[in-house]
Amino acid sequence: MQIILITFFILPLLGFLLSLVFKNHQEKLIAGVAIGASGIHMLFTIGLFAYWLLQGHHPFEYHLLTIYKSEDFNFGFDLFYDKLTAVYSIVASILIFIVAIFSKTYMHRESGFKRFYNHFLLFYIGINLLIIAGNFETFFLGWEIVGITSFLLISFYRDRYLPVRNSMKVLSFYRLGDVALVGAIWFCHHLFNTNILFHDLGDTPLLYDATHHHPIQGILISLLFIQAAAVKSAQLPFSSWLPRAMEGPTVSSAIFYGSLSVHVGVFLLMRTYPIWANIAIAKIVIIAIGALTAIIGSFIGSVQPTAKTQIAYSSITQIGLIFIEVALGWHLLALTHFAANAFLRTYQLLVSPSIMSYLIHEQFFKYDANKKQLFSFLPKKMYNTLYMLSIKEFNLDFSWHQYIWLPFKKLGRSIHFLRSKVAEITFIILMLLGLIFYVIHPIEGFHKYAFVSWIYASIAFMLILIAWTERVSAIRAWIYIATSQVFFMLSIVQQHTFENSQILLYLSGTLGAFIGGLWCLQKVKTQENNVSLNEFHGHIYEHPKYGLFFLICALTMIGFPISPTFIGLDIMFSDIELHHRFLLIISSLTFVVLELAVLRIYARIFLGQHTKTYHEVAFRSS
Amino acid sequence: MENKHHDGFNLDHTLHEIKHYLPSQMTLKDFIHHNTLHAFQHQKFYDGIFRASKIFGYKVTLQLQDYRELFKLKRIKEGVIDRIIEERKGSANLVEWTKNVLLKEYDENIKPRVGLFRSDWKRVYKIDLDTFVHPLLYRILGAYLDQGISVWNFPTGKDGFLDTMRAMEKESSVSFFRTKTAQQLLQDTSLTVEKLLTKIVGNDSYFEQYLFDMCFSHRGWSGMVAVLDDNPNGLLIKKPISLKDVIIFELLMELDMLNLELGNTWQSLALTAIDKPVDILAETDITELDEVFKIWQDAFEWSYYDDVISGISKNISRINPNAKPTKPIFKAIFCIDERECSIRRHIEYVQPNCETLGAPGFFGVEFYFKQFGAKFIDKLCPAPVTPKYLIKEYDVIPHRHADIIFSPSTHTLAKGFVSTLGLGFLSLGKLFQTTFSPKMSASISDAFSHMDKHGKLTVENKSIDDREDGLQVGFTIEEMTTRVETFLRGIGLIKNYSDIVYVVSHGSSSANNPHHGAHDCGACSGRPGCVNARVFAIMANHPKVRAALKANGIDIPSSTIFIAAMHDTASDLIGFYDDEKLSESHQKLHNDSKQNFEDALDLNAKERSRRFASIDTNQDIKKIRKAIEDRSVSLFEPRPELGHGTNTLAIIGRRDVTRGLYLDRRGFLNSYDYTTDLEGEYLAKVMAPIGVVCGGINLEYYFSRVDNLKLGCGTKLPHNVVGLVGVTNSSDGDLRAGLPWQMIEPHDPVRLLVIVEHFPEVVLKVIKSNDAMYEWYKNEWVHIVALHPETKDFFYLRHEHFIHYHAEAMDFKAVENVHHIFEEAPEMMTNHITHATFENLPIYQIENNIECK
Repeated sequence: MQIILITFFILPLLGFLLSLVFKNHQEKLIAGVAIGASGIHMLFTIGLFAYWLLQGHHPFEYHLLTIYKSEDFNFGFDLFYDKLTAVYSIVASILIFIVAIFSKTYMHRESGFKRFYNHFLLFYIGINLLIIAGNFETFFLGWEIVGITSFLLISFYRDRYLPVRNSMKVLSFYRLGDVALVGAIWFCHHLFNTNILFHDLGDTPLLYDATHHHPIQGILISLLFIQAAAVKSAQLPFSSWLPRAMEGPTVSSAIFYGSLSVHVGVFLLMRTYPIWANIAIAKIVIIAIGALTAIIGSFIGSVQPTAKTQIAYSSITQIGLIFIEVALGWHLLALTHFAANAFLRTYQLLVSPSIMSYLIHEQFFKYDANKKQLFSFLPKKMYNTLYMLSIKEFNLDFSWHQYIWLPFKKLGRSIHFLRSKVAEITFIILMLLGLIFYVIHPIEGFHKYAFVSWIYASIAFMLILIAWTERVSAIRAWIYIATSQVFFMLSIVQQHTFENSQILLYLSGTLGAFIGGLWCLQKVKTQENNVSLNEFHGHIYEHPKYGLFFLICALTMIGFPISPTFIGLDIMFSDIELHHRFLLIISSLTFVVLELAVLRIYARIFLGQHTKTYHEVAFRSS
Repeated sequence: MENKHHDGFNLDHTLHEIKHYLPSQMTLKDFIHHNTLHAFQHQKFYDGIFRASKIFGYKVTLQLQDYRELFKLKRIKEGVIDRIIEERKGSANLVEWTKNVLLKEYDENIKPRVGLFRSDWKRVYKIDLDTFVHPLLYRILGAYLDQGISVWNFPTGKDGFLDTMRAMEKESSVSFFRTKTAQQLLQDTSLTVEKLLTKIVGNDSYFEQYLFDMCFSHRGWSGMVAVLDDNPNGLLIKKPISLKDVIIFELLMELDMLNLELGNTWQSLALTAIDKPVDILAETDITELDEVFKIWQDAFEWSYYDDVISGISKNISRINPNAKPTKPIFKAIFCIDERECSIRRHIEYVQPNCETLGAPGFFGVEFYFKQFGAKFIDKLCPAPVTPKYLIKEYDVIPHRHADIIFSPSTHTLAKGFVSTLGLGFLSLGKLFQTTFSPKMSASISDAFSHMDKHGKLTVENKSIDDREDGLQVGFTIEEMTTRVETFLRGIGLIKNYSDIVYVVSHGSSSANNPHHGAHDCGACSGRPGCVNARVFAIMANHPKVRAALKANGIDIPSSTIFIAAMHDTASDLIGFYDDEKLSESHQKLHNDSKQNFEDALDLNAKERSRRFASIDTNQDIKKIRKAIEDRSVSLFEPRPELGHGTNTLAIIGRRDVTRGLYLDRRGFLNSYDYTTDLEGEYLAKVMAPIGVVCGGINLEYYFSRVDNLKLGCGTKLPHNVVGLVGVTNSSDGDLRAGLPWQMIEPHDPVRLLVIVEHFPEVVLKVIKSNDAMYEWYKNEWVHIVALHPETKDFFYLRHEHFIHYHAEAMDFKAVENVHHIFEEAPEMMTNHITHATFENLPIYQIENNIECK
């Protein structure tokens, strides 16, 4: 019976794979596959729910397979079904089904028709994995797929500047969520000394003991989960990415940012509720974040003059309230509120183009010049201040740029001197030394010197920073990224002995990706003579195949969940010991910047306005 | 006022120039088609468009490889190319130029002049001002101009943009600027553009160039501001704004950012400039590539025109000049709109004894219209006309439904909580309903809701003193008579009246479509034309008007009545007005005719369905009709109809010229009978709107097609409605002017061919009589051909003279059954021109129509 849970992602997976074989103009077939898969899926979801209710609605799990197993680490593929899964899966499958139908006509003759459905179905896999996940590893898999498809759908109109830039912006926020989630999972792993199954979360005393005996770690874990949830659900202070994500076709904005993707944070909070339910600070933080977002979000939302940004802020206002409901333990209300908000915002976004004629008509008959304005009871100065702050989105977007990302970029640029020959030779020597030390262990007990791994980790971080801020050559940046990966690996292996198979798993992914990516960049360079990272080139117009191949290499390089790198990375991360805080922090920062540096190369070389103007090219401002 | 700056820079002059070249599209509620590159219209077509391209970077033709592909596909005819090369380059150079045209490789990259100087910020200081300045600037402008989206409106705004910003900044604890310098400068009332430019740019010989660069870095918003600067009435809720104010504010924002990001390390931009200042608007060279483009574009156009001319030539050869006119069962006057070209053909097909006519769809009556209960008025006449009259609707039982999904309460906190929970599950229901069973609702713009069928109108003026909003309410008998007479004479409807004359206006219903105004009647300022049709019918039925007309020589029999109607070009529904109290005989005739209209609409729906992938053209015709109607109310349908796509012809003459010809909905058909107007007195009036209206539509489609990303507004799918004034692509994007992809897909970018049935010398005299009108033809932004009514020869205008045109012999297909045309028509594989063009069908002769008269 439990095995039936695999249907949740088998159907989307089949749909996705099938959708790859068609050509762009075979619209009926492509859409047919998506509608078929999501239609059956919806019926299945509802059917299962009914059956489950009748059977006494006990949560149940299914262990699908073990991907990797060692003494203290068990990377399995587990599925889990409970009330939360039920509600989310039903809402998701209904909305996906509706949007699949809606898009068939809506996307008609769009040059990216097939690409849209491919991404849409990939998202469909991701969101279902995340909903049905039985452990954090599986959950993270879905989470990452959702994140990457977000990036791909925001930059759906990849020949324009703004979608590409904003997709990178959103990605940088998502990374903050990803790293928090990885950190939290890693902490959990060490705290509970086992891989947690969601099924065990409910009432196990283990959980209580662990958080009770290690209160600081319990708080830290909770805060990390909260950060991940707040990022994904666009709560303060991360809110400003949401309106900027509305770059793709209205249908994808509706399903991602109106409904499903943006409620993933709520899902995470509810899933991890047993972990933080007894931690007062966690609850206070969630309520504070929710309340602030609800209030400030509603201010910002109320001044928005555009249909979609208005809906975005209205949605996060409600999600703020849902956060509070979750923290207070009112989960039935939270789930109802989630479903209602998801349906309402999806519908509002889908009909947002209608607002033009509808509201003009409203004004025609109902306009009242003396209408009482919101907050008109405030003194003039406060009134203006509040209004202006709302227009400026409370400086959120600007502050993130100015105070968070810019310092990192400046740091990166300040160490560009390391791109010299001397430094590069030093890196190579260090790399070889590291490998030699790892393979033949010339000095007994050397790995106990923590500073060695710190050095390697720091170099890895510096290299990735340089790659991220490189302006001249994409190829150089790509090499630095790969080198950084090697240093990252060396920093961890200095501390541990791994089985060779683990190392191989990781290296095969990284090395393959590196060579493949390098080949693409070289090809483009020989043909176009310019692979600088100073501007967007939009080479995908002429080189779509290199573009696609490079994207796959890039995703492998960053350890996208379907690549070997991911598993390798995951294992290694799990093996960093708890007391190596410095290593952990540096590794996390590297992890954040890595994806940005890699996808930046993809975006700058292949996306954006095409540098050649013999064909139609959009203005930068459009 | 003292002129502080020297001759080098004159702000007013520069502002005037910038405004002239910016897009001049009004807010989307008043979508009126116009020549996108109107600023270049004083030049010859090719000189103008290539200059525009070199200055602003627009693509103004198809790509060379597309033309060559069209040639391979025989869409461009070999004989036509030869003729054009010989005409342009001389026979001696035929071989050389044929080689250039067909084979030579050229660098087609466009490197615009605008934007170069200002890009130095990035080159020299590695700073990207646009990234910092644009999003906030758009947000502020959007909020300031907002007509009703935001829940909390911009405080005040009565004193103009800059003063409002000043007042707001003054009484606030925060600022839109991040440095004190900019905040203080804003409060300085003696602040001028020149002062700011001196700080930012330095040398005043670069000022004009910098302002062009800056304004054109977001031509959408700049254009909207410029338009509202000149037409403050373009907004329902008045928001005074001037381009100058916005320029000052933007310069301040730039200064602010420079100071913040670069501190003291920057100098004015002119100091680091490499190039000398450039006159942005200076003439540009015509390159060899341009010459090749000219030949290709001409050849593309004439390959089609040639078919049309030989088609018409053959068609008129069948007219029997001695046939006695018989009294038709009914006559129907339609709008000249090319979308009505097919419904006219179909109604003649189902009722061979009827006669159809075409005229601009405001039917010669210009006025403002105030809907019952409305707080604003709508202009219902061509855009350049400013009416002095007001028509009010009264005796209406209001029954407007609201759609709570749009309720502002869903966007606030506490109310939002309640309404989200309440409306959320309702939305789910609506999602299913709209996906599986679309139907008309309050959120869909319904052409028939423009006027209540059962309401009354103040057509007749009661007294000259009856005025409202500075307008005269209704028309006097004399004013009515003048309008009816001019109109009837214009279309030659002064004899042989039938018992019923239908006056058929058109409008368009569509869902989820910010550009719906572009689908309504262009002659009624982008509104449904039903009020005009009804007003005209009321006037023409008025006994006193009839008496006055009789005195002027137009004797309309008392048995003749005019009945107004409106055809919805999206849903293919028709509605009739004031047809409840007809005499028995009229009622019977009307009922029969209504059936004819219904049958014709079935056929019309079938014809249109061939271009819609979602409808199977081979299925039962009633099912097609239903599917067409559903389309117009489907939220997920970005193509409720295809608007003016494919428009190419404007034919001014008697219906005999085109009756029985299948023109594939590509022609504006304006009725005109030269025999009633030998001197061309009325022709001048008929021709007046052809260039500006039909030519404007045609060129807007042309430019939106050849550069949909820069001159059109791109695909509709990511559009985001801003302030109810326009659309952008995202939260940070510039306003997009022009037409969306979904509207121009089937359009072949060829200029309008105007064909006038009259003596060439009369036609020339008439078009020369008005400079503005003549400019269109003289500068070749539209082509004109005179059809000699006696010799049946065609003459085309070249270098201001009519030259005899010899059409190539065409293989002319005759079909007996129109159904076959639609059922067998190819469907485009992609919307690339070399695929899309094959959806446009050749000219056919419809057999069973020939004898019907």
